[in-house]
Amino acid sequence: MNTKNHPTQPPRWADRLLEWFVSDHLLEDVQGDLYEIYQRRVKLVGIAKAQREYGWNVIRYINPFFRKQKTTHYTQPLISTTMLRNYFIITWRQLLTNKAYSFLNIAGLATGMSVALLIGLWVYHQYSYDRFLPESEQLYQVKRNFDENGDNTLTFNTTSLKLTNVLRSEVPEIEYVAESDWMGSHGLKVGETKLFKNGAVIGRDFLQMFQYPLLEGDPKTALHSAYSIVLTESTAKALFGDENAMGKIVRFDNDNDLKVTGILKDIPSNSSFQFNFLVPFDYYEQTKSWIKQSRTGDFSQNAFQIFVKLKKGVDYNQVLAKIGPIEHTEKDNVNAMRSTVIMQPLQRWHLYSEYINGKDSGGFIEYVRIFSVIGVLVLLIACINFINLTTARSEKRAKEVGIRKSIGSERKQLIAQFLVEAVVFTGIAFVLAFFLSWAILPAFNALTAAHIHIPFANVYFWLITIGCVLITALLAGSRPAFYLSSFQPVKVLKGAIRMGKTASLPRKVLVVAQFSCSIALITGAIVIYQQVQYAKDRPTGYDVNRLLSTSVNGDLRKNHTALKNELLQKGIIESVTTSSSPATDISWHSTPEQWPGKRAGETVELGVIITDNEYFKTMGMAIKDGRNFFSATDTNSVIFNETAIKRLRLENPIGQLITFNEKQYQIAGVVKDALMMSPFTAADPTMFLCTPDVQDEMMYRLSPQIKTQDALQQLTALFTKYNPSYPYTYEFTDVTYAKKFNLEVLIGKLAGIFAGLAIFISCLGLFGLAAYMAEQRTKEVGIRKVLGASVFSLWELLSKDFLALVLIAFVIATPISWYLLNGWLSKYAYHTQISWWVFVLTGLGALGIALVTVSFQAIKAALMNPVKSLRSE
Amino acid sequence: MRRAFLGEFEELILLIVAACTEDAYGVTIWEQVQEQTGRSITISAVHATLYRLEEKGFLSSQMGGATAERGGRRKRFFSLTVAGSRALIELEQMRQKLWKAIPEGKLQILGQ
Repeated sequence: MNTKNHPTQPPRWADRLLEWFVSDHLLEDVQGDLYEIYQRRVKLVGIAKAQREYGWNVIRYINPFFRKQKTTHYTQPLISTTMLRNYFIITWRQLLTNKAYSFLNIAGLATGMSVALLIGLWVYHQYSYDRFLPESEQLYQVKRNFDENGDNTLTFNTTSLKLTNVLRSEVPEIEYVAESDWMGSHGLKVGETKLFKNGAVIGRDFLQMFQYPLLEGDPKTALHSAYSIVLTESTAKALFGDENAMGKIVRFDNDNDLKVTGILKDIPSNSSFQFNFLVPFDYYEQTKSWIKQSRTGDFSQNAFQIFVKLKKGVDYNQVLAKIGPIEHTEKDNVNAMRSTVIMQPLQRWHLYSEYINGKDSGGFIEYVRIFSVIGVLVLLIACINFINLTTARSEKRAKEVGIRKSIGSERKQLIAQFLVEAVVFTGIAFVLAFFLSWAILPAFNALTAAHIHIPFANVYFWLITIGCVLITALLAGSRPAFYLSSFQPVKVLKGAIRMGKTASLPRKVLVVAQFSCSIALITGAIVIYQQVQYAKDRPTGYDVNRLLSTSVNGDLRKNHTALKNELLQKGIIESVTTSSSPATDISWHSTPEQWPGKRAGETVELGVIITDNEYFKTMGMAIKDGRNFFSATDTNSVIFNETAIKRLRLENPIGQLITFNEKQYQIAGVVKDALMMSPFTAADPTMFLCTPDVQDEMMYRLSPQIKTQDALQQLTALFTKYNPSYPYTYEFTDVTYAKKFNLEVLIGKLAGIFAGLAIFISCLGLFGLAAYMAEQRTKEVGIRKVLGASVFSLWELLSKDFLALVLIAFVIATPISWYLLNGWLSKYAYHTQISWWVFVLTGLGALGIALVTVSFQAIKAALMNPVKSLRSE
Repeated sequence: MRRAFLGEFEELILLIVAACTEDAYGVTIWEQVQEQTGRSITISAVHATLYRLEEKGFLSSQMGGATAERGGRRKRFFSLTVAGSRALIELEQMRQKLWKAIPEGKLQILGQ
């Protein structure tokens, strides 16, 4: 082989590797030496072996020593205070020279940050529920998973007193058990002061489990004597004024005198338990015979709630395995055999209140998640503004970068410079956002019915907030910092740098992302509003207007007939009834034992309402088939609603016999469905029974002739006359009914506000971008004008790019928000359809707002005198 | 003044650079090391040591002498700096002192 004329080359891959890896200042002589050795080896041992050796030699250079950069001869401190001061000075000058731009930037960021801050506080508030209680992780509520027909698991809070006995004696891991009623309202009376307030009748160890702070009294013994009562601070004040309440006597439900044995601090708003007083459960057991009997009853007498505290260090799952089958000892009790006892930790009560198939998998947490996402999105939109406005102005600052680099600035110093700018801008924005949130907070609290406050004294709050601010600064500042500092001085100073398509593409993508989020938020707000409206407009099946309800307490039961007669006689009301449930709820669900066509083992949960013959008239419900109860003594008849008839599969219901609670009833009539529970689901299947006894809720409709104000005055007088030991309390059914929409209305309002803010921030950004683009194209516009372009064509030229972006955003946002909103709506059994015009409207709206924003700048540029714009060069 | 430490291999390279009659660069030094010690040594080890000695200030270098064989790349010629010569002289003097300190009897055992 003739190697002289054709000098062989070492392997390409090895050369590439060497050139890539070894640092530039060493490469030349290293590679030269390697070539020299290679050529000698070729002559000595041949090409193949020499090439192999060359490869091996190169590989030996792959170590950090040959990688490192040439060391400089001056030392640099890690953070130079001089440079840092310089960064701040430059930032300040930038801020002052570009006032409009700085304003847009800071205003957008501040709005975004205050939204994020408010949402953050709100989310924190939701998560803080019940966690302020000491040892809250050891506290649980006992519930039952009931296996309905083998395929569906229902979760009940109702438990039996037998279960408390068993838990106390058979589960040593449980430290305390407290049984409780359902926290209803009771009458409290001291002298002439009468209150009707919400409170709990609860097990004697309650205050040792749920350690709400006591101002006076001992948590160990406060509830130990049956005839005692623990009041909250404000209840005590309402009853006793400024006197010390401890040891004094309160008349309870006008039955017995209870001694005040403790004063609790008022219950904070982020507590799941809300009560004004506590009465020991022993009091009920000593004064109410049916409760006494329940104590010795079986597992099916489910009428109470149970709370437990586990011993320290006990594993929840271990206890769960033990208590799950604890009711399976009553072999012939279907109810007990189908029940699995479970517990829900206190810390999940507030956020995970909905059980699906025996698991607490949903509830308020869904809204917490939605709003967390919205908060992050709005903040992101604000960050995008910052990125866009900063990079768009890069051409202006390119020269600065070029000069800095050519007089010796290193890239990392430039990055530091731009990051400091971002931090200063976000810092200013944060201070503004903070005061903004602080000012808005009372209004926000009023809107969300929460008691959120800024935890000024909390170190973690400040650490987290400042951490978030820095992350925002990095998020907003990193792209400009790396983009601007990458400019090559030679190109920039020659003026050759043209921000072509590649430079503006990321900016466009970001604008599209911004508007997609805004459009999605707006459609969300509209659809939520529509859904609420749709459910509100839904026929309720009964008339909620001028319908009042009052709890039957004290002497109302005894004097019912007299009161009723006088009310009717004086023409204050047109009809009155008493019922076991208020008009807007069904408090008892049960299943009939027998009906025609029942399948073996089949159960149907029916709402049970015990009432009298005046019920349907008072409520304004229409009888569809059959008849009403003859009179209050028609106790052998039953009336079903339409849904119940469908569920029981009764073809010709009238006259058929059913068995309920071991008694036979004849179906007298079918009444039209009424929405007493959730307005978003189908009506509950319900059965109505008749009794002459006065029930717990009195409902009466005001006469159409009388003014509400006068009626209330007369009602107060009459109720006080017949029930002197209780204050007159009443609820308007339409108000109570409207409360069912509270959550949805709130969500809709918040989504609307945040959507508005999102589009506002997006427009701030767009405004800045448009201003910048118009400024950049001043000369072009000038020349076009000179050559005869019309203002309209110039406006079109400057606006159409932006409008295209909004259109793209619309195309992206529509399917995504359609998908998400459909998912949200499908959770409601009764829901509206998303109509196409919502999207069209939102799209047009967004387009319109964007058009106005951009046009302002475009028209300003188009109207400019070309003499002015072309004069200076 | 803190004196930079010289390892055994570094001292060897430094001596070879000092001893070279012609201009010393990577390949010649590499050949010399192998010749003088009889050990097989990789060129990368020689390069690494040369650069390290330069960083420590014992050697200085300048570029020059490109050849076709090297693909037109220049060589890096190394020469001893003042610090380098001083370090070698000090090492030598210390050795001499230690040799002289060895008692007669032991020297004979060593075969001298």
